[in-house]
Amino acid sequence: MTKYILKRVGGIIVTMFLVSIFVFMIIRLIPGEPARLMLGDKATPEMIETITKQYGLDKSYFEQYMIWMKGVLHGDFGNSQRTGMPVMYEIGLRYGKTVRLALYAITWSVIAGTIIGIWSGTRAGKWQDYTGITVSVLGQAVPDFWLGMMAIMILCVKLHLFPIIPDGTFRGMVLPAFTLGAYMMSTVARFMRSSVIEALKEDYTRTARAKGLKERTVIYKHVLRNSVIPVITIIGMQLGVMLGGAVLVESVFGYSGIGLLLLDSIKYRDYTTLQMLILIISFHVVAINLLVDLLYAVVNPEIRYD
Amino acid sequence: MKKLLSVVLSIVMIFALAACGGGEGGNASVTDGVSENANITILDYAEMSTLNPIDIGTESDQVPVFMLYDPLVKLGADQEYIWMLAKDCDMSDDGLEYTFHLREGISFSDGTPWNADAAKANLDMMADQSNGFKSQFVYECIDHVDVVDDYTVKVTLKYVSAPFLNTLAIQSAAMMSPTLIEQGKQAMATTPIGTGQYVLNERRVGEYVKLDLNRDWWGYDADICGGTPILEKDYGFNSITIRPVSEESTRVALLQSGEADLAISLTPNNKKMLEESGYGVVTKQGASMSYFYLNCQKDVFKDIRVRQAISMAIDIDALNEVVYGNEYTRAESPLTSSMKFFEKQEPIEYNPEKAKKLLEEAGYGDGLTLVCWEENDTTDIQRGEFIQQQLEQIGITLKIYPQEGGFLTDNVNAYSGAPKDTEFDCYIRGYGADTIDADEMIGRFATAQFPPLGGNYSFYSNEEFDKWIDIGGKSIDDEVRQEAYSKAQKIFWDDVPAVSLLSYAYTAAFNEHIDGVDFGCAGGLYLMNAKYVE
Repeated sequence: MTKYILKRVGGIIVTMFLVSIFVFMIIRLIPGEPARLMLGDKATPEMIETITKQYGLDKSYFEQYMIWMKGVLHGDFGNSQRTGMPVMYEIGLRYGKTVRLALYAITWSVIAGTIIGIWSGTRAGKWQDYTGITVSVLGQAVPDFWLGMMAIMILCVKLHLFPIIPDGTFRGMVLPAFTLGAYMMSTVARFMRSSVIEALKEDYTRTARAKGLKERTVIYKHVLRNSVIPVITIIGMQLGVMLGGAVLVESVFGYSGIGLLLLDSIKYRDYTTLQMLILIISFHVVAINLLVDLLYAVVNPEIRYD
Repeated sequence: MKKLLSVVLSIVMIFALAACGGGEGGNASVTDGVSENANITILDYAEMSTLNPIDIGTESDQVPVFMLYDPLVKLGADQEYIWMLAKDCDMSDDGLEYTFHLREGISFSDGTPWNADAAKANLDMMADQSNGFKSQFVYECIDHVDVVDDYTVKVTLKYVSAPFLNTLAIQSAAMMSPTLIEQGKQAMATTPIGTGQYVLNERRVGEYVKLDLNRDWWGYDADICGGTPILEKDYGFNSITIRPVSEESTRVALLQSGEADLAISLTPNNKKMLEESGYGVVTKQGASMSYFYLNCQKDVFKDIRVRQAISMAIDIDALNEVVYGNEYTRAESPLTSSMKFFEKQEPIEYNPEKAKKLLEEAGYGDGLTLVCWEENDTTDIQRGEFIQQQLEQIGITLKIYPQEGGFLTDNVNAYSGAPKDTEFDCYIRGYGADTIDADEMIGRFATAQFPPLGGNYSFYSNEEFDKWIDIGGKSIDDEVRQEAYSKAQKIFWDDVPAVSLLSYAYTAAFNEHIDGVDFGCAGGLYLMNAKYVE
């Protein structure tokens, strides 16, 4: 097990190295002289020179990359070109907020998705199943953006039940978390449903029933345990999608997380912040994948990583 | 029994709570001047990137500046000068020396006194181009600054610059405390120390900036202001919270739900909807205009008939309606009507028949293909397509290449070879005059201003025009300038080096609690004459 983890961590380091090169280059390939983009149409040549020197933009790409990487490895991520403040300060202010939003969204969507999935799966072909399918298809078909906007119009503007901009309270988090989790909920429900239907056909289910176990025990002890594995994989994969969704949801609710920062960095060509954000987001996706793989072993002890 | 007791206790508690709440409300407005209830929330479309006035790069950066800071002089709604930290100014006859007499008895929010040393510290920083602040290029003309006495400071320019006083009236000329300047760039960006009507309460990056009223602001004090205060005591707000909300529909929803009091940057549809449901709406023209530049160095545009034909073939009113919902104003001169020295010109008649005839006379009866560059924002593309369709009717095929803004600026400036060999024949883009002065807006069409040195994207070269621009830019006498720019506008209008299209408007919607919302000449939100309505 330890050997496996070490191997995977090594893999993450290599992946992150490649991602860093990719991110660095792709940002440099965006046309336009960065100093001019920062200072605007009317900047004097003297100002452009100052900024070019200040950000080391006159050096070769290789040198620029080495300087950046050296900084990153020493914990210095440079200053934001938009605000002049350290990038880690800007990201640090918002990171916790996005994590909080994502955690709320994951929690409700996984719980709701699992319940709907089991409900539909165990009653395949009945009205409960069709209700479940309708809910999950709707959740996937409706765009986050629209869902959030409708929630705002009805629940905030008309009924005054929630504040539009999250104010730090739990009540404020309800709508953004609901909007962000809708897609994940549907995905989990669909996979859970088919997984349950598969498991119900398996020999061990028949054996369990033949032993005379209660239907409830059969479902929760045998069926659920086995059908949960593919769902975990899906949750892991969906987390990356969720980070993308956070950009939209944060924008609709004016919630200042890293999704909104990403959007602003692109809009104002804040390259130092942008490259760091992409790096951090990629790291999360890779790390979450590792976590998910390790979770398999916990859920199903039959899986061994030696 | 227990049950009964708990019900009784609950009722008692509810009443007690209600009484507390009522008490708070009742005591609130017992103060001199602005009521303590006068708290408003403003929604902007983007977040400010800095609180450092000299480093502002976007409209959002401008919003809090004149709340926290005062400049030497401000521009009023009709471009008149309102003297702020300076009482007045003497100009030398050669236009190179400006002597400012400063108001006495004012101090910054950190207690540092406002005097000639403080003014010099600011002006020196603005002039030193090696600082690399985003807005300081307009102060490139300052040569040096001398302290004459405690409350007099003299600025000497490198060359005569007619818009100089205007440049001291815009946000980037806000006066900071010298102690703040000493603390350096990061302090300037985060901890504003000014003489303004408001002081910073709290900034939560990404969320909001909250400003509190400075009840001892010097502008309320008749003695310091020399008799009449800048503002009566009941103007202003107890606190102003500025929130960035990038999504327009969310801004509208926040206004409707009562979570905010004022929203800026709204599209015509939303503006109309809010107006119909009883919200106040303000729309004001700024100092920006869109132009259809024609490269006059190209053989095809050397013939004035071709330029005239193009100007007659574009139905600008229809463009305004189709693309901008009639929100903008049709150009009546290359200057916006909000600018000083603006003179209305004879409207160019929309007449495709006549345009066709002119093209035939010029030898292009069989058609003409032109390459056009523009920015790739949605409405910019729509504008380009509209013009493309209009020109097609007179046999001109416009090949449009939309490009990302910064990239486009680079490309236009980085042409190689002679101006007549640029890859583009025409160029559609807006231009905003930071100095709100005719010298910047129309003066950039002088021969000396060919890109990359200036903004003459038409590569227009006309000796007579150059002469008047030179006179206007080098004079500080308004009569002389009026004549010069009157002549220059006429020449430009007849010669059509660029078709002046539409001047931009700025929009805000607000609820019944605010009165007196306005925009400054350059388009920034101007709340100086606003107050709270209970």
